[in-house]
Amino acid sequence: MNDAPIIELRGIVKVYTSGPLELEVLHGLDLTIERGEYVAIMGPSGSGKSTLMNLVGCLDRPSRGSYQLEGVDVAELDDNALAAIRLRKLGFVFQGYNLLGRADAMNNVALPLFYAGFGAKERRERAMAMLAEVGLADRARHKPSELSGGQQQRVAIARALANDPAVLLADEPTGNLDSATSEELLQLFSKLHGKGRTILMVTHDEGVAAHARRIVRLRDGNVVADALR
Amino acid sequence: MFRLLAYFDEALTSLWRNRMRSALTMLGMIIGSASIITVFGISRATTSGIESTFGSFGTFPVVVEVDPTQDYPDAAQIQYGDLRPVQQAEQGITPWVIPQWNRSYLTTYGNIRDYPNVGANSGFHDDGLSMSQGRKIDQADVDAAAHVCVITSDLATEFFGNGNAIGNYLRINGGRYRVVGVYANIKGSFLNSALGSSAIAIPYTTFHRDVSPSPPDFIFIYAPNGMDQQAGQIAIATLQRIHGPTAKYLTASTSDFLTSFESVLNIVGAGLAAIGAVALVVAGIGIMNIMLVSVTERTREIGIRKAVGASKNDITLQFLIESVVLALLGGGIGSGIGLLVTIGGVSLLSAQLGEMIIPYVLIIAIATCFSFLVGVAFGTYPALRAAQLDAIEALRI
Repeated sequence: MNDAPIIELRGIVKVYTSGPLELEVLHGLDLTIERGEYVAIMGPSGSGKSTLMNLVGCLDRPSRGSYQLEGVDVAELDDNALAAIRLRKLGFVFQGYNLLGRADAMNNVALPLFYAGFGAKERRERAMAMLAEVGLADRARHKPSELSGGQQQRVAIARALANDPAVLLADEPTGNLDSATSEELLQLFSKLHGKGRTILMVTHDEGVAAHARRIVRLRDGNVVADALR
Repeated sequence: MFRLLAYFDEALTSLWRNRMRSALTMLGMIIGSASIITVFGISRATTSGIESTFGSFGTFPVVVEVDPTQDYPDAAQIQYGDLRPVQQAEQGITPWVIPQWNRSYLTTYGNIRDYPNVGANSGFHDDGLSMSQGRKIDQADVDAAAHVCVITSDLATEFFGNGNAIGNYLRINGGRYRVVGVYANIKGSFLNSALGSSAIAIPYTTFHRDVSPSPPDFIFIYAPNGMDQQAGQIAIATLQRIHGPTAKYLTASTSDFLTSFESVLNIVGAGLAAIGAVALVVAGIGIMNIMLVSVTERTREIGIRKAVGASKNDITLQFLIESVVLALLGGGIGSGIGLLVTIGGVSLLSAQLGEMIIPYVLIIAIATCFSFLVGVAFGTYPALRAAQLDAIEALRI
């Protein structure tokens, strides 16, 4: 299983239906991501990159095609099985951070550990370790409203990594940040990549994408370029 | 298990954050459960009080009297001579058939005068009464039509102060009667309800021969448990054999009274419980409403939880526990109030009734069960709605 690619998409088609209207967003897309890669997906609005991210993130199912995650076909799994995949194998970082406003940084990081069934003591220890990894050990008791945007996004990254997922998925992670903070965050991504993390990032910013080792360009639901740097 | 506790903790935090809203939502539960618990507690305590009162005073008689509404009540008048045929007819059921008069007579001791009720008595001892002095009237007194009497403690105080009453002579309607006993406490007893707290009991044979030759007003029949109705029917049949089939008689027994009392209590209780149940349903709808609002408000939170890996079951459980906690808190507060009202009501009633038992364990169990059921019944739909939310949609908000 370790030889299998982390992500293998074959002939992925996604059709949205709204009443009698059908809108095909992805047209038979193929994409393979190996362990340890740092990939940026780029494309203009409407190119299908958010749809692709939702499919890879198991928040949605493809209309056709196969999706193998670490050699396991997840295209046909039911909702509870997909929830378990998201819990154990995927870590999300969103543009808007998406932290629980009333929980402090540590409890936000501990949230996936809670669903994974860890006891209170172990949750605390692991959450503290993750916060230390993103350089926020001294902010554990601060609520999101007491943290800067860059700090909130680092809490989100710590949360995404809490269950040691196979892939870190980041959707416009620097979209809400100024350029200096963005640079810090991208250095954190590079550091994580250097430690062997597989990272898949969606962005429309060339400067951000330039930090990745491979850039996949989408246009109108097709891969139009795929280049290593 | 720890997960349930964590959800419980989470639910309390979330309810506390919206405490004004939670309190208003709980009001329905509080009113509903307080009324149900009050009705239930007081009716159970009253029943136990009445049963213990009657139970502690032994057997109560079936009372047979002439139906005063018939055309010729005089022709049906119970005569002293009717006693023996009725006693014989009742032999298979009970030997304790005695005549009774409803009279009061001038009674004096020295200069002290009063008009207490004077009742007829027999050697029947199973009246549950205890004596503070002396003895009860026995069979020998009845057989000899002896001039002896037993008096209540109120009367003993009136005539003899705090001193010894036994051996003193009372003049009742001109005759001299030796006091052989003083009843201790007659509160709640049949003697008290028939003759009042100042009463004298003398052998019925003496009463007939020396106090009043007039026909008795009642026949008392002390039948074993469950035989009251049969004993009454036998007495009526015997009396009709003597006075003719058109003569009409009434019978009343304590068990009749108890049964009718309990059925009234049950009807009143059922009516109030129905109102309480309606209140609980309304309360449940309030909980459902506020939970639906909560789900809508927390759509984004639900999306985050789902993205992080929460399953539908996790989300369902989280919201279900929140509504159950809401219902349990409201039900708990309401039951507490209901319990206090019950305790207050019981302390007022226990002046009239004997010892009343409040079924605390049953009350707490019922309150918990009902609150839990309301929380589950009305929390399930909002919880399922939360679980069905699409994570992508939820995060877009």
